[in-house]
Amino acid sequence: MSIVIDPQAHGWFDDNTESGGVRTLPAISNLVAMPFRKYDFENPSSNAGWQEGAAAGANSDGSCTAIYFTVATMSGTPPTSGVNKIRHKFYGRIYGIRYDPLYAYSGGPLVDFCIMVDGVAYRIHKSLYDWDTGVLIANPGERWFVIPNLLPDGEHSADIIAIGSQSANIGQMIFGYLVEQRAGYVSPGRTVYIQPQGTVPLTATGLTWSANQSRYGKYLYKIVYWSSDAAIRTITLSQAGTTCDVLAIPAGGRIEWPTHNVGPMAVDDALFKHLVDSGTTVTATAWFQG
Amino acid sequence: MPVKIQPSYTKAPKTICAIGDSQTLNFTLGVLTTDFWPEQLAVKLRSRNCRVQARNFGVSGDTSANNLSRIIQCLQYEIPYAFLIAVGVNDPGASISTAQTQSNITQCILVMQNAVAGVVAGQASLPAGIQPSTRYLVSSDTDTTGGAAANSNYGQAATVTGTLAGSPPAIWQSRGGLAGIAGWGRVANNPSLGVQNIGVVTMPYLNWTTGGDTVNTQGSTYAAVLSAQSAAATATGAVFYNVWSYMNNLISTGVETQGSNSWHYYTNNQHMNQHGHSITSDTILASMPSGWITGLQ
Repeated sequence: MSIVIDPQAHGWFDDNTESGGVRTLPAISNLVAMPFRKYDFENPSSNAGWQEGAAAGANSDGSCTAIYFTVATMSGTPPTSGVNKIRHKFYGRIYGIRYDPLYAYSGGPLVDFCIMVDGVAYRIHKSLYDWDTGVLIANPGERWFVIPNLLPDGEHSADIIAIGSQSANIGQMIFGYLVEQRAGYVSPGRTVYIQPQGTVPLTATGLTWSANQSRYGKYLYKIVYWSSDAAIRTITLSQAGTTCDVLAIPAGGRIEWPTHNVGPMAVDDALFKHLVDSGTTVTATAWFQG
Repeated sequence: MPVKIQPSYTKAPKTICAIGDSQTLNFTLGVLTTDFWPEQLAVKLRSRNCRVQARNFGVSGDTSANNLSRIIQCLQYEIPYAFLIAVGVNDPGASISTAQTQSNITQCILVMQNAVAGVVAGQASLPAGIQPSTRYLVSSDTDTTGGAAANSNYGQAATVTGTLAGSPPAIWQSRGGLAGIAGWGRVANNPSLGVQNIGVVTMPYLNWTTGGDTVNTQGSTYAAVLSAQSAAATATGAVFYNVWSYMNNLISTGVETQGSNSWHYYTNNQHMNQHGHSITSDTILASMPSGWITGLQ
C-alpha cells in the first residue's frame, strides 16, 4: 500500500501502524552565512578581537571580517588556563559556526574549542586529515559545524569558547555563523575592503595588507596609485618573481591598476609585490573583495 | 504491503539540566566545555540509545544561594526531563550555614518540581500584575493563614499546606488582579507540574597527597555540606548521587590510589579534571533509576 507523506516534512518515525509514519520535525530552510558585526556580540571574559580584512578569500560570507581569538599561556603555581569567550544572540531553529580548522597561533598547537547554544555544549574539532592519505590538509579553508538538533523558534544565545593551553599560546579563527533564512536572515553579500598601502617601496617587498595572513586568498581587484612627483614614475608589479604589469604614473597624477579587466585576483603577501623606480612620492590604496 | 519508514530525524532530544558551581562548569582549568560531567553523562546515555542532551548552568564560584537566585534560568527553555543540582562546596567559605545550604537546595528543587515562575524572599514581595495561575516560591513564608481569603467567584481557594521540615518555603499562586480579589494564595506543593526526575549530586572525594580525604573519612567541613545535600534530597524525594562515596569506593577497592591526584589537577585544588568528571557521570549513571533511562529511550 502507499502512504501519503507531507512533502514539507523532513523527518519521520515509524508509528508501528501499517499505514504510515508520523511527522517529526519540519524541514530546515536554507542556511545563511552571516558575519559578526563589530559591536553585536558580548565579550564577557576575553579580548577576542574583531578583525577587518581577515581571511577574505576563505570566508564565505564575503565580509572580509572574522573573530580572532588568542589565549595566552598561563603561568604560575598552580597553573591555570585562560579563556576567551564571546556571546551573541540569534533567532531561528538552527545555529552553526564557520571556522578555520587549521588555524593556530604562530605555529602553535591545534586546540579544539567549544560552542554552547542555550547551555548545550558542542565540541568543535580542529585539524582536518585527508581520509585517503591521512595527510593533514594544508589549506582547508572554511569549515562548518551545525548543531545536530533543531531549536524552538525564537531568540537563542550562543557562546563561542576558546580554552587556553597550559603549554602554548593558542588561536582560533571564526569567520562567522550560520542561521536559517526562515528566521529572517539575509546574506549580507560581498563587501569591499579598502586598505591604504602607504608609500610604495623601492625595494621589492610584498604588499603589507593583512600581515601574517598570507595563506588566505585575498581577492584584490583594484589598486590606485597617487604621485606627487614632478616627473613620470614607473610602478612594476610582479607575481612570484614574474612581472605582470608596468604602470607609468603621470607627473602629479594618478593611475588605477585595472585588475577588473581580468577579474578579482587572489594574491599572496609574500609573492605579490610592487615597487617604484625612484623616490618616495607614490602612495597606493588597494581594494579587496570578500 | 506495509511501508517501513526509516527516520532521518528522530524525536527532539530530552534535556538533562544541571546547575552548580565550578565543579559543574568552569572555563579556566583546562577542561573542555564538552567534558564536564553533565555533558559526559549525556554522551553515556546516548550510547544507551537515549535521545538526550545536557544543558549546563554551572557558574564558577557559585554558592547554593547563588544557584537559588538564578534557578529560574533552568526553566527558561523548557521543563527539562531531569534536573541535577551539585552545589554547596562554596557555602562554608561564604559563611552559609549547612542549614541554609539545605534550605537553598530544597528551594531549588521545589522551584523545578513546581515549575514556578519566580522566587521571592517573603510573600509581601510577590509581584503585582501577574497572570492567573502563575506560581512563585516564597522562601520565608511567615503567613499563618495561607494568604488572602478564598475567592469563590474565581474558584481558586488558598490552601494552607504547612511548611517543609527545616525551612519554610512555600508555593504561592497568582489569582489574577480582578477588583476585589486578593492576588495570591498559598497552594499545595505539586511536584507533578514540573520536573519529574531530580537528583542532588555531591562533591568529589579530595584525592590529594596531603590534606585531602582519607578512606571512609571525609573532611569535617565538606562532610557537613554532604549531609545537608543528603537531607535536601530526602526532604524533596530527589535521588541522592553520592560522588564522594563512589570515589571512596574506587579507592577502597583498589581501582584508584589514595592520594594519587588522579581526578584532580593538583594537590589542594578540589576541581576535577576530565577523568574526575567521567567518574562523576559514572556515579550518576550507576545510581540512576531505571525509569529515568527508559524514559529517555
